[in-house]
Amino acid sequence: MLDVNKFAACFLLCCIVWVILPAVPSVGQESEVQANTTPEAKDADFLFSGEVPKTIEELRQMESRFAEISEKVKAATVNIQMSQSQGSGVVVSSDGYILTAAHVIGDPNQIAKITFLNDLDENGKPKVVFARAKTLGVDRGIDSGMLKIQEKEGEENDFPYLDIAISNELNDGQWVMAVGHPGGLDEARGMVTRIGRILSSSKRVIRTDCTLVGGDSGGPLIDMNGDLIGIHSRIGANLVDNLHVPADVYSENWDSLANALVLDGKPSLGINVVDDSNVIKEVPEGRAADDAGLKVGDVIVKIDSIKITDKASLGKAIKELDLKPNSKIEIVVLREGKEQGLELRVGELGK
Amino acid sequence: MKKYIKLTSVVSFLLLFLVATVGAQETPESQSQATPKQDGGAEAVKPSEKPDSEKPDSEKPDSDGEKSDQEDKGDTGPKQSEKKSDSKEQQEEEKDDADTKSLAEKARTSFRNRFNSSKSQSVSKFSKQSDNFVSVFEPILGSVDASTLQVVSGTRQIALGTVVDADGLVLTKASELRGKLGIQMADGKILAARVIGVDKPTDLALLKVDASGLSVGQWSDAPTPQTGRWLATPKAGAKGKATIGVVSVDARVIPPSKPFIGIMMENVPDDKGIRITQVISPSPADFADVWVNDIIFKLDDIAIKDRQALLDAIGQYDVNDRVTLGILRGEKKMELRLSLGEREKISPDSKRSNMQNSMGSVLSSRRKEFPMAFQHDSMLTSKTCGGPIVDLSGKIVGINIARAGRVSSLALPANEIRKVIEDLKTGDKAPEKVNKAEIESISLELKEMDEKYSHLPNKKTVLDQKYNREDARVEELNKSISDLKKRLKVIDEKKSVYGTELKELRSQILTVEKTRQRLEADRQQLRTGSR
Repeated sequence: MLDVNKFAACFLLCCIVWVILPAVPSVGQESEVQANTTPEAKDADFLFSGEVPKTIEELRQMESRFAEISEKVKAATVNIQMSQSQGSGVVVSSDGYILTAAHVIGDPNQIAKITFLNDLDENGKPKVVFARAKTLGVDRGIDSGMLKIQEKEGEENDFPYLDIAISNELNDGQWVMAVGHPGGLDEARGMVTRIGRILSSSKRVIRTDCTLVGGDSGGPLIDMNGDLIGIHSRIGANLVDNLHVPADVYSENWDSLANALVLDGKPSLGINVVDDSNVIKEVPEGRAADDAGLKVGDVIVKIDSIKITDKASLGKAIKELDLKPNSKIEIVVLREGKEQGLELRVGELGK
Repeated sequence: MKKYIKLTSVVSFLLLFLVATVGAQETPESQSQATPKQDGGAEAVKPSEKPDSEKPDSEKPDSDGEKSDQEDKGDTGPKQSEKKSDSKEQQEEEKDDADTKSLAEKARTSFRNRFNSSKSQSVSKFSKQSDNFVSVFEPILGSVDASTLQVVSGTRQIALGTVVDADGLVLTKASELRGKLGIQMADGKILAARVIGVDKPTDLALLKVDASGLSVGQWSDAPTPQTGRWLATPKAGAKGKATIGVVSVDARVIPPSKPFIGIMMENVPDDKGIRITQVISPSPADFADVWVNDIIFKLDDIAIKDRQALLDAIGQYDVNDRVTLGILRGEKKMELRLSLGEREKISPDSKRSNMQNSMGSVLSSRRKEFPMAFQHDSMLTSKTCGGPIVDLSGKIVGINIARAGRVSSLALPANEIRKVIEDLKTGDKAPEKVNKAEIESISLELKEMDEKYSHLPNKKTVLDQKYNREDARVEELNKSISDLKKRLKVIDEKKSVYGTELKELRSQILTVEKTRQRLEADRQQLRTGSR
């Protein structure tokens, strides 16, 4: 059983996401992203291209850019207090959808206390505004999570929010800003701003030198337009190991997250093979392969268009196809000397 | 491919676990409940937090979240660094990754690397510490570079210093100073330094070296830089490079550590105090010999009726203040004295947060309680505090006073410390003057101790004698044992000889007996004539 788990657990993490972005995420941020990109971007291309400024004057231009975007970012960044944990989050729609990290909220349908710390009151002190939110979906495999604000103190439900950028067009070296509540909500201190660069990025993770620490989780990583490109997730031993979940991950799974689904995301075919071969050894009852009608002794020869010759190529196929729970695949097996095609609905590990 | 799968599966387990940890986190009935839970949020993927049962066979301890995506590694790998030093560091980083080192070892190694190369964390040509970006700041760093010097203890760098007077006055961070102090000049020569002034609230110290004609940086008169302004911490000496960052939080008062006594507690019925459910070890409560189930009903003269009352009462004191707890142990009332500790150092809730904050950073030992400081994201270490920090004008806007956490360096704003520097120059804040009260109080305490424990040397002599006497007896007994053993051996040997003789004798007797019987039988036959 452990074997099956291990095997299937590998799949998710091995996945390269080939999937193309869904045309329009359900809140329609995409068009807005494009609307406010171009004009400013032109006069400071180095902010996006991954290059460095050449002069002190350009450094000053960057400072004004930081000032412009940070106001907007702080207005949309919130503290999330759960009963057992705390983290940051960012509002991404005027009706109060909040993106965060899965490990901040844990499970769907929990109550979260949201704190806005954006405005200053008449004494120049941060104005603290509370809201109640309900946690929605989580993808624990990639560490993405969503909430929706239910009600906010003394205000109409028209929230300051950030647009979600497309995160598969990021350049290494691109300038970014990270905001959050490191160490937890501190009203006297407020939010903490960090500036850094993208050190590497893939479909599943963005790495920057914007240092993060506990409490930042779920906070926004933004580009120099002030658009959201990632959510703070985890850190490594070095100061340059700061990892963020790419924004595309949220856009792609928007419906699942908004519908409060738990995307544990570890795909499982529900089979166990003989040693390193492609011969099925076990088909646990009620799992994906069983439902699809696979039998012990079947030899897997093809998944969709990918040829399978052994266990390794099986793993590789699952990675390349970026299989997700509930996606459908065609699996071709050799049974009693004949090839047979079956439709299989990918299961979820541990379910 | 196989290795790849294993590595990634490791990360998946890590990820699974870290999600689990948040859910599993309890909120104990403790002092910590009064403040929002601070460290349950962001997670580091840490080897120390992984239960063995979740380790696949192939697993290696792996603290680098970076590995959660191997494509990343592949992406950054082939892009060779232009600078030789960079690629060397990259190799070192990768070596570290592969090793199964403990996190502490890793931290030490990474610190050594940084220390040796006098630069911080420039592991990627894309980072804000990359040579091509840092060099953009060169035009503004010219004058201030020369006024930034290394403060050494022996030959080891312990801090940076800021020249504030051409005739050998150097400002630095007081709490880092120890051992044989010196200032390393631009030519590498080390000059002996002495402390001529200390300001406790700002943690600044003024050093005097026998030198003249030192370069003094220009100080800024402008308002303290606000969030999002570029900052550069100049390099000290010929080697190394500047550290770049931005203001993360506008200048504010940095509060002291919260006082903490080190117990978990619950309310007792009828507002009669709080019952101790756990004593954290080590902690002030632990040292003072507070027990689980003790009931605290008083703190100094303040009656404690419930948790909140105790928290409020403790909140009125500072760390290191001495307090007296009124305690009910069973039927017995007693008083226990203790001095309050720092919450950050004692509370179990703070452990994870401390751990994360130390990842990749060597923090300053004093990093709290400053009258005013602005926070920035430059990747300093405890050894690169004490020096100046400039904005894009190239003028000094502050003095780096603490590496306070993974995301946080603190600088005292130039505008706030001008007077302090002038005061330090007067000599009125010489350490022996500033610490006069403490020195006297310790001297007094020493004297009291001498008196109180004057009988101890005699007692020691007596005990020594007793001890020696016992030693002699043991030796005697050992000798007897060895004698007896020898005698026993001789007896054993004799016994074995006797045994042989006895056996022979027995067989002789047997032979004689048999012969005798035969002869008697013969005689009988002869007598009866039957033969």
